[in-house]
Amino acid sequence: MEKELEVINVRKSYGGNQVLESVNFSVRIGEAVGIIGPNGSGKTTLINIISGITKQDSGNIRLKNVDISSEPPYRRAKLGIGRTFQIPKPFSGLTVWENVQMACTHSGKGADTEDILKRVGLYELRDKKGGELSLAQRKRLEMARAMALKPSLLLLDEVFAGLNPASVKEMWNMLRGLREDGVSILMVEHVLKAMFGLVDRVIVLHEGRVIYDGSIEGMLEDEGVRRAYLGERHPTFEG
Amino acid sequence: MKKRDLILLAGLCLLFFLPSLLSPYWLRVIISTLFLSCLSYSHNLLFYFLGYPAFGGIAFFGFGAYVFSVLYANLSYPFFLSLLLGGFSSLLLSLSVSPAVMRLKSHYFAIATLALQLSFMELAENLDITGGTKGIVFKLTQQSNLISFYAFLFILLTLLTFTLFLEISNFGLTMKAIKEDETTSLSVGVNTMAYKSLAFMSMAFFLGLLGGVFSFWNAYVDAPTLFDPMLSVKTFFVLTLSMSAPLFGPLLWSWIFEMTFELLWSKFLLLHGLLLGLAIVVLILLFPRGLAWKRSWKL
Repeated sequence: MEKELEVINVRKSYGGNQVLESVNFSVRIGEAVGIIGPNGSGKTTLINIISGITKQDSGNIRLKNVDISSEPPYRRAKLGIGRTFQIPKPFSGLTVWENVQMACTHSGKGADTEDILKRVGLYELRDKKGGELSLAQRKRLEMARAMALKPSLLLLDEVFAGLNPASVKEMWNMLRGLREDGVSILMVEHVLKAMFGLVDRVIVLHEGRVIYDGSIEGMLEDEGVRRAYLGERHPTFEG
Repeated sequence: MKKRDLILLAGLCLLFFLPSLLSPYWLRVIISTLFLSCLSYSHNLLFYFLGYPAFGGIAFFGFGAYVFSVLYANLSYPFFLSLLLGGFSSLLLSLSVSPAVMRLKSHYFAIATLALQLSFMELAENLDITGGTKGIVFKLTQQSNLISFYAFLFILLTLLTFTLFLEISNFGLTMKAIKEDETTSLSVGVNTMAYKSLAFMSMAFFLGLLGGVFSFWNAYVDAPTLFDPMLSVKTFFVLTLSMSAPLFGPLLWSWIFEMTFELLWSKFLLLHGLLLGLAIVVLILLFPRGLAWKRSWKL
């Protein structure tokens, strides 16, 4: 199957701190891949490098076989990479409608603001300022803005973090819908139960290296992953 | 036509015929007010919409003023052509420095523009073409005040229209989004550098035009007059108090500032500098977010 995204030998360091060491993996078209790992393992840096916010020291990023390593973030967004942030960043002085409308305008792909707001359940709140929303609503607004780009690849940075079970379910359903639409997903997540129901494959990062890339079942049995991240018989996986 | 539109139209008509109703002294005061308003609206294109404080934006004002002065006074180019060339020269200057300067933010950006202002001041004082420390003298005509009044008024109305356009358009909305969070703007497909450069060039163009009109009105230019830091102080005083009212705030506060300045200058000749400083402190303390801080008062 054709590849949506290829991360090839990507390295990144801040001063003497090597954050990513020769990271390699790929995401196939329509595939959903989860990235997990301890705090500081380089997950968010990786998402920032793929979206172009952070520049890698070396290595390449390819989107649908095209090298986008030197493309600025706004070009990558137009090429089909949508993203959310670990800490939601709505334009707090703009209304919900304006937040999404802006993304629709700049994507140049003719997305409809009203449709997107209805899909994420924020249409009734369209006149509220971004800064007046709750955490769950902010996360939905970020999703709406990413969807306004009509992305082929969605990068999600801890999209379930801080949400109550009902909001997790809503977000899960939304992501499931996007998967059914054929959108490829690369998600960094700590809420593993929610993530495992969505992804086809898991990548485990530890100290800037990929220590596992494969199925969920295989990961749970992997000794290296247990030592680095999961711990022995983690209650998350009981039963 | 609504009542508000009628009042606005009447106000504009009154402004148009103002020179024939005023004494030369008061006409000069009004021109000072128009000049300060124009300076404020020009800087506000970058300050209010993008959050960039161009403390040394006066560099473009001085540059445009010198281009105008050399063309009009020394080379006898037509008035309007010289004005336009002054504006476009400042625009080109801003275009050349934009890739470096617009990558900076907040106080770093402010310091970079200040450095530009000081560099141009030094250059102007040491070049023959600018008249060095002697400056350039214009022939004063009977019509100088009148022409300057209408030129400043025209620039003011253009700036008001431009500000209104930015307030209601997607272009202005995008600028406000960049001001709030540039990284997020980039991630939704906004070419932030293009927007920032366009705003920077617009500011420089209007400041260049203003430099030309100011030179003509003042009938004499030299580096200390054109690159006077007091121009920036007055501008940012007005802008600080106009923050929540970008459309009419600068006009209102320029008026208040110039009237206060005139009153203090005419009544307390020796102490007016000190009293003006005190008045600025009191006004900022009384209205930290400007006069129109309530949404319902937004102008």
